[in-house]
Amino acid sequence: MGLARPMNKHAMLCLKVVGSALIVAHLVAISLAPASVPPSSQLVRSGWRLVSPYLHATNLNHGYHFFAPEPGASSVLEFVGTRSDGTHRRGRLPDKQLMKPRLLYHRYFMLTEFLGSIPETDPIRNRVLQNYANQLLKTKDLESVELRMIWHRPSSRQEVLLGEGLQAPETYDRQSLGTYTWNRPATMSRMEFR
Amino acid sequence: MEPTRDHVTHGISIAIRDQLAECARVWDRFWFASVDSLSLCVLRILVGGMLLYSHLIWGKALVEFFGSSGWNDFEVISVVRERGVVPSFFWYVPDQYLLTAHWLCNGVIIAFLFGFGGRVTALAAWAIAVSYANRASLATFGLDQILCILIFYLAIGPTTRQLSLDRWVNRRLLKRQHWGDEPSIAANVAIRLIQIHLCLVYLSAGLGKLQGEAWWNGEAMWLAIANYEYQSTDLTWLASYPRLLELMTHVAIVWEVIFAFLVWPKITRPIVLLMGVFMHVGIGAFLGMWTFGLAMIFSYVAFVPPKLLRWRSRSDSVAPIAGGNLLDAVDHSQFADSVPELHTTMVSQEPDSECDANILVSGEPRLERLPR
Repeated sequence: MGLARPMNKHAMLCLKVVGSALIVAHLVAISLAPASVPPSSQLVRSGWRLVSPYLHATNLNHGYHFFAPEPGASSVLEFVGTRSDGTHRRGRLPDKQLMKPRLLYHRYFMLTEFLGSIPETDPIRNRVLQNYANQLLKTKDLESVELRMIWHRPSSRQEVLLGEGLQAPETYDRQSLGTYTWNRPATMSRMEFR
Repeated sequence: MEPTRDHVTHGISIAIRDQLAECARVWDRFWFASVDSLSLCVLRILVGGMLLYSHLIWGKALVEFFGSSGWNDFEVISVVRERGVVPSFFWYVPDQYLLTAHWLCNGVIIAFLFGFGGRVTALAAWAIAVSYANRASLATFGLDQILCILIFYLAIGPTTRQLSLDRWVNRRLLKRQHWGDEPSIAANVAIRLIQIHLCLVYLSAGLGKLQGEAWWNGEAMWLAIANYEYQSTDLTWLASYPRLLELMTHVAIVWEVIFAFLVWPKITRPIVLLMGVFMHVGIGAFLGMWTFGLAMIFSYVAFVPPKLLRWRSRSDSVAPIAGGNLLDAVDHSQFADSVPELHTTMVSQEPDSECDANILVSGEPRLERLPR
């Protein structure tokens, strides 16, 4: 028949008590993840530090701040590569035309969004840049690559009503990130991250 | 005779005890009632399908995203995770075996999708989803988050009892006629956790947005529409309709904030869910995130009573609503004696005797056999 025998009432009660405790602990943990997104209190951040191993291990450590606090500029990585024969290759990450289907495009887009979210003073930024440069050198068969960060802000309603598209030049803000050649990023010490 | 202080204290303690007992009873029914596992099984198919698609797309750039010298640098991921644990079996897979590991994983996901292997496969699918998301965490977004959440809970519940190869094997090959019909406490726990986690997702998203000026002054929807990198359909013609854009902004933020509260009462639940479907279809159609939008819509199955998911016949329902709520937990008991259907439902949640159990597995609750 496949139906288990009814469990002893005492055993069932014990199971329910343990189950309830686990449920409460889990709900507290998953609530602390979004609550710890800045601005947050020291209390919440301390609580989050306690449960973060569990949240990281289960991949439930998310803030769920989609388009929050508000939709902003997109981060795009522009590159100009030089091949061994001296010819150049231009491109950008992400590229709607080259990266299909859309989900793959979005994967690359998240890479550049991550880069754009790192403050310039953060030492990890250089490592990310070198790593991204290495990828471009490897996958595009380049000798060197010049990187530029582009922040592409959404056009205002007025700009669109005046006939400017979403790709109007004034909506792009460029920053040169330097020229890179192949270099294996060194392992960073723990102190550098702080 | 005037009540003494002891009488008053005694009365208060009884009232508190009764309230606590009532709370415990509501908690017990909310979490530990046995329910039909159909919602979970439908979710398994939807989530499994989306997970498979997502992984097939990973496969188009497997070495780039998962290779030892790919985009997702271990040191960077480790820093992003604040030197915490980043479990992923991909850390141990040499580059030359990436493709083999990838197709083995896809095989497990296909088994999960078709409901083969019970919880073992579900747990393996969850471990795979987490491993991919952790290893390539610089390239992940809301889709991966919601898939990991859903599969985590699906691994708790019995997801292969219905609409599955497991059911087919047990019923057709092993001749276990009623296999998979039993209501399950684990199914209820899984469904409840999905429901509450969804509420948390929307509430956090809504409260996060309230910190931004654009969600207050009504510009946020335009800012999303006018983001070229997200845009998949041109909606810039809406620039001529500022009031409409403001209305859309306000509706979106209000909906996100109130979702956690209005999804529970039966009267508002369909409205709140329908609004969610519209919003996520919009995200898919206009911001190019069909996968994320669909995954969110799929998760709404947790709020749909199994009886609505059954298209064959009303008598198929073997257990109470999985989409029920705290209010249901109280109300059903109050009306159990006066409403036969509800009484059937109540008893079927907790099979205390073999008599009840037999009624449950028969698939057709018969009132005359219920002990009064």
